[in-house]
Amino acid sequence: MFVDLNKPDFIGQQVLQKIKGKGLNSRLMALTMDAGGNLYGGESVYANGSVIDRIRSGSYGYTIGKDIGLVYLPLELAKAGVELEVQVLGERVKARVAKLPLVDPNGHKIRA
Amino acid sequence: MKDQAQVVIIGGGIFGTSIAYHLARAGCTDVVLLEKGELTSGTTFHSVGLVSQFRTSPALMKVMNYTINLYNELAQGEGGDSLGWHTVGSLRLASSKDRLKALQRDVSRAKAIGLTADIISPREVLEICPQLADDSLYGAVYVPDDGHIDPSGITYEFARQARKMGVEINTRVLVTDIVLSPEGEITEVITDHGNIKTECVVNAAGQWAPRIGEMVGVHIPIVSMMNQYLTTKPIAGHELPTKTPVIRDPDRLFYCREDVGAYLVGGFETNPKPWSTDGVPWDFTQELLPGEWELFEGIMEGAMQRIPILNEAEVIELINGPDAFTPDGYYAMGPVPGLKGFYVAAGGSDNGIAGGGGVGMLMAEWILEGETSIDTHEMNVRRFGPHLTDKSFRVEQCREVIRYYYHLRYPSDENEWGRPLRTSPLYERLKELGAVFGFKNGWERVNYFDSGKSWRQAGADQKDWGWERPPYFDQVGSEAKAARERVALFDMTSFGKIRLRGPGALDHLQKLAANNLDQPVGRVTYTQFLNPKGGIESDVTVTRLKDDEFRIISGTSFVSNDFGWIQLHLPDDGSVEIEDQTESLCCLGLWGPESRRVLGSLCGSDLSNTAFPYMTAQSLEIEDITVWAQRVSYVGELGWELYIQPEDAVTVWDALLDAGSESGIQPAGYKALDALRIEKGYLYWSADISPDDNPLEAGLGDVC
Repeated sequence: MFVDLNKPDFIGQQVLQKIKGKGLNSRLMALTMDAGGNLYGGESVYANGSVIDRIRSGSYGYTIGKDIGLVYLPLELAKAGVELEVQVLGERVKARVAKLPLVDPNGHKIRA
Repeated sequence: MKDQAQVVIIGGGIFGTSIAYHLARAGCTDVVLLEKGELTSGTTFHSVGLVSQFRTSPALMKVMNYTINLYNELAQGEGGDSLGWHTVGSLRLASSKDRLKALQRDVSRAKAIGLTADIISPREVLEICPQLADDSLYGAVYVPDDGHIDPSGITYEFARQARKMGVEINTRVLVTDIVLSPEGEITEVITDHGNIKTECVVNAAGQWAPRIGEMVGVHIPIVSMMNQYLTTKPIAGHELPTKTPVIRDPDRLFYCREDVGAYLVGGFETNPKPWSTDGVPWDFTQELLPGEWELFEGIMEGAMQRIPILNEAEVIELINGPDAFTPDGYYAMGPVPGLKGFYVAAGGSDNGIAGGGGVGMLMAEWILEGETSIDTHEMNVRRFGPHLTDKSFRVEQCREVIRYYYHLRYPSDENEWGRPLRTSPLYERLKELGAVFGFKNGWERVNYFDSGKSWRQAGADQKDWGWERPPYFDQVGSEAKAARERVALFDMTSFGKIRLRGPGALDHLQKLAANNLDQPVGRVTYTQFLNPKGGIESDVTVTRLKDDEFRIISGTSFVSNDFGWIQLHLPDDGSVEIEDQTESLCCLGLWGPESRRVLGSLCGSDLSNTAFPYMTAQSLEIEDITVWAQRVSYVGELGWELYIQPEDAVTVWDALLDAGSESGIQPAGYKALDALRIEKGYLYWSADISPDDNPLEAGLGDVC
């Protein structure tokens, strides 16, 4: 991983230790959906009819054949398979939570 | 006039007075504000005073929200009547089907960051505002809490309250110089009415901010742009009620609000004009430019189509007031890296009044606490790159901000003016391959290749396919597939490259980075620089080149942001030297399962996983050219970033394409890169991670 809380002092270290101690509020996850290539980021994400957060970046994943949006989700929703909705150009589109990465999850290819 | 103060603010417009008010409210009253004319006499006095919180950026929305709440609060107070604050709501009309979709998309984004806004039907629009014609009306965004305010009223109110708390406000005082210590710290402000010793100067001089910046050798990319509106006499029998909402009809390029029973109509033309680009004269005070009817015709025509009664209105005056714009249309705020005690708050870009409260609040936080409570990366003055010192380019960027202020801009559209500015040494090669160039931070970058066709610059392309699947969809797919299944070659020259060296380099980086950078020479480390709240200010890879030398790689648009963050925290002892080397190195990305075979056939080195592991770097020889290779990837495949001297870039590019032909190598662009990285969950700073997000929630740290 990319954070080393045991290294010498760095800006933000104490706060991260506190956050880690208290536990996280949310996790960055992927949402996969069919949005017709129109996911550009910023779109509202719905759970049970209410807006819960926004898509951060969005793009089309050619390898998996789906539109992909990244979103911070509360822990109870940050589980693969959870179904949510995303408002894309006036339409509510069904979206499914997935764990990152969506391709080569164990990084075998990059370390080959 | 005081001869010493904790803070000296230059400029008595909405920003300067709001900063004075917020400093004083936070207990900092040893403040002097200097204004060369009277308060508001720069650009504030001719502002239209529209206040809207309909934004799609969370940070800007917070700034506007705070501002509206503050205006509401002040309007309840003792000086409230003079503010002319009318919470009349606003209507943003869709006069085309594509605009309706764009507004639906904006509403989705605004709702996601907490705004209550909805699209209402044409019938509801006409009920709220019966003056409007109903032809080509597809709906509107209605925001009931928006409104308009008297810009002078609110400025004088900020000033009155600041004075009451102890701030000294001096008008008709011209700043002529600012004195720095040999260490580059602010020491004194020189004026035509005496000098003030101070360690903190806030440059809130609006369209004169670049000239104030010049006094201390700081370039502030602000251009004065003509901004026009007209007022009419009331039309007998058709007087506008005070509660008339602000109308914006972006397809017809105009806005309109009630003005003492009559109409005030302005807009944003698609061929805007700059003014006084070599610097605004100091004596241009409480002045306007002659009205330019030719420029305004299109706007007025649109307004008369939508509001037919305007055809009968008698015009009082066409106001042409120049306003300070930045090259991306967002504020220029915050501390200037490398110059202790010098702050900027300028470049209102027609949003000065709308964000006036929030800007003052954030500046006071910066000055008194050293950091802000919200993410300011879009408004931070340190984001501007050195390429903006090119005057004609800077002017074209500002013109394009106004051009697209109302005119429909699709997400895939690219700026068209002032290009090309920054090109890779491979530019000609890329053209030969049919490159379609996008535009990022002044760079021409390949979006995708249209092989067999001639190269071109992407521009307002999306209007041709609207919200349907883009015609290049399959081409991008084929480039992405090449990277996943064979091998693809990317020109990544626009990557930001920063060199840090000196005896203090490691210690300095260790203080900034959340990952451990005390690694062996040749190791590449992915890391974030955090703020004291744990939010992510920079997202970079750092390579240890020598014991005391590091290379930091950052995104095309973020190198100035990252450079500025490092500089703001630089130790005073001269033990660290920092240099932006972005333009002096070319970078290629060779990625895909076949990349080892392709690179291996060109160099004699052992590229096996043992000899050249992931996240390490080495020198390689290709065609007798020394290349610095880093085994990293933003697409998530085996491969290397190759750093090459610009004069050698074409030779290496040609050699790689030649050597890769048997493996089916394919040149690829940034659309494919973005599609590939998101599948791997590689993050994009400013969207996925930002100064408001911490690395643990972003999944960058071990939380177990």
